[in-house]
Amino acid sequence: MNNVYLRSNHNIKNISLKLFISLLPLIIAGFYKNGIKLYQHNLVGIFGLLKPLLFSLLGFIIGVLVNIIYHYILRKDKDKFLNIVFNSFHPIYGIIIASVISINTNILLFSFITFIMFLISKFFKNTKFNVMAATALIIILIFYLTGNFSFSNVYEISTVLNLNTLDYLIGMGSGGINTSFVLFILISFLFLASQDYYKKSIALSSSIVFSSIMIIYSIINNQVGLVLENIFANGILFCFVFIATETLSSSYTKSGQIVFGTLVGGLTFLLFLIEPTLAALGAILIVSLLHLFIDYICLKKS
Amino acid sequence: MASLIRINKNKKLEASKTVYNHLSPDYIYIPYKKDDVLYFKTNDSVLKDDIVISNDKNNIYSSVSGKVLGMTKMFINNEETEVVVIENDFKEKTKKIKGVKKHLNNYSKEEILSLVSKFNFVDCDFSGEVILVNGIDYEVYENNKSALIKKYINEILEVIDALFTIFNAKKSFLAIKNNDSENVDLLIHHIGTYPNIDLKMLPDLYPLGHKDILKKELIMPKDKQNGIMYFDLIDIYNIYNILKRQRPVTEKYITISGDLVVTPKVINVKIGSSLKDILVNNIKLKNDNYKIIVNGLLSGYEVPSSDLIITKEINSVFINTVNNDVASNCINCGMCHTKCPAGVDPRTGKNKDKCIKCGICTYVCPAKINFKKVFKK
Repeated sequence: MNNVYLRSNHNIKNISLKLFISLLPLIIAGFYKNGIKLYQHNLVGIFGLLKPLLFSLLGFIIGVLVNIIYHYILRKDKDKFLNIVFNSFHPIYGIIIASVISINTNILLFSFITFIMFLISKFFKNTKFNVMAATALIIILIFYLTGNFSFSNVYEISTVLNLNTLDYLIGMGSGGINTSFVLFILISFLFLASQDYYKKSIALSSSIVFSSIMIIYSIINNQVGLVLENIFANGILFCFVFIATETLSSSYTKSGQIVFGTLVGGLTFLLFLIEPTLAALGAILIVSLLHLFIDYICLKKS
Repeated sequence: MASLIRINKNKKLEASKTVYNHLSPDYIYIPYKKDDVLYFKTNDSVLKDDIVISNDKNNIYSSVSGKVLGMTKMFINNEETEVVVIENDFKEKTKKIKGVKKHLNNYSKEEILSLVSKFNFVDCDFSGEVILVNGIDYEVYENNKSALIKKYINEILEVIDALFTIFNAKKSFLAIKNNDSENVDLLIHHIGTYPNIDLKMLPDLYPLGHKDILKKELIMPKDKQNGIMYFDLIDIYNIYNILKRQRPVTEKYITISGDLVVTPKVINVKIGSSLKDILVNNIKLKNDNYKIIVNGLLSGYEVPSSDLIITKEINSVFINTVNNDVASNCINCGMCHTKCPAGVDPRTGKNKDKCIKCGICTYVCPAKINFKKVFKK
């Protein structure tokens, strides 16, 4: 019988846990920025205080629920409960989607779209697109088309902000619920980059390409003062670190990951010129549809 | 050493460097194939080191003296094979050998090549200007080479030095693991007497003990052009015995470990011994619900029973619990490809012919996919 009788401790449960650990400081920072701070300024009540955490919790629960429904009810699997719950990355996807949407998003809209999209992704396993990017895009687009979409919370709307570099690093810029604390995103990236399974080349190449083009663009258009805002705002770095690197819908070869990241970075810039809030998610979704082709070409050339 | 990996080891599975002996088996078993020439009949007496069977590839020697009992069936390399059974008389009677030289340096190049070829060391490569001795155990938890260095350090260094002189080599390397502190100390202490030998201490990464990987990591491209005389450390020790005694190799070290073994051990056994016999006399097991894995947990294979004969190809035996890991769908992480030391892509089969069967792709896979099975298809 042919097998390997020693296995590493890498598994979906373990990887999900490490992704959660890397997200934890951002969730706490998001809770402070979009919950505690607003409550301290008497801009929201108890529900408003807990709303940022509620989004993350709901995202996680929807991921778990979809796994349970799909495996226990639809497929009638007889595996252990914990194995079913962490049979896929959907619980973590739920938290990440909750992190990139605006704090002003309707909770029911978020829950409904996330649930439907997760269920669809379970049935169409061979449709390799980035579920997180697609779900977040749909939620933001619906909000965008039906209401006054804004990433800013009530405090940010009511105040005129004049931000410097440090302000962006400590989460003063606008963006999704848990995406504006740039310093924590960098720390999370360093932690994830030390893990074997993490596709760090994608995060690195997309960030470098996008930032480089943005710097050149800003210099040409005499908008040097807006460079940091363009790079750090709108959750773009968060999307590069957590969404573009999603394992199922990104390239797996070494050179493919660099090509994938470069395309994401470049396309994000192009879409940024049209609509900055949707740029990173749109670029990731489009490039994720090409990941099989990118790997095919890279394997052929190597 | 980018693609090599550090395996998280369970210390309870590591055998000590103390070598136990199992040199008096009641019976030894010699594999017999259809076209082999059998030199003895049932009830014939056999001396130790007598050729019992020969074929176009090599001769198989008796590791004990005794009486031929006849034929039976046992497992060799996962196949049920016919074997000749020899009953041990425990007298170790041998023919007298003439012409043995006291000092290794007194042998000529031709004499060494002739003796090595006579006693089936066809795997050793004697052409090249750089001698590379692999003192790194290939498989995780195998400790045969470490135990051998500890016990026969002088003999090993003497052979490498003699080969260096006799074959006019330009460089000689002895590669060992840098975390094997006991042997590192021992070698640093002894190697001063042998200025021709360069000690290379390498990190404990898998599969650095593989011949091709070690050559790739250690030898400069310029030296590769001049040719490498590659030796496994166990072959070096066998060459010592062949030159000093002019007798075939009839004993070998095997590591017996696994999560059901109370005390993992390195055991010196007679080639042809039965595994069942070795286990009964030397190993205490935690329970009887086990599977037997031969030659390593990563690159080895499972055998259906302990009805197994120790041949010169067997380096380790693992007695493990039955593991029920269920594979899930591939998550496209690419670790099987990025971690492969041979540059194979197990998912598409690209460079499949370069596969060294180290098992890393399966070891690292988070979805627990068994690529050995996939490759076999």
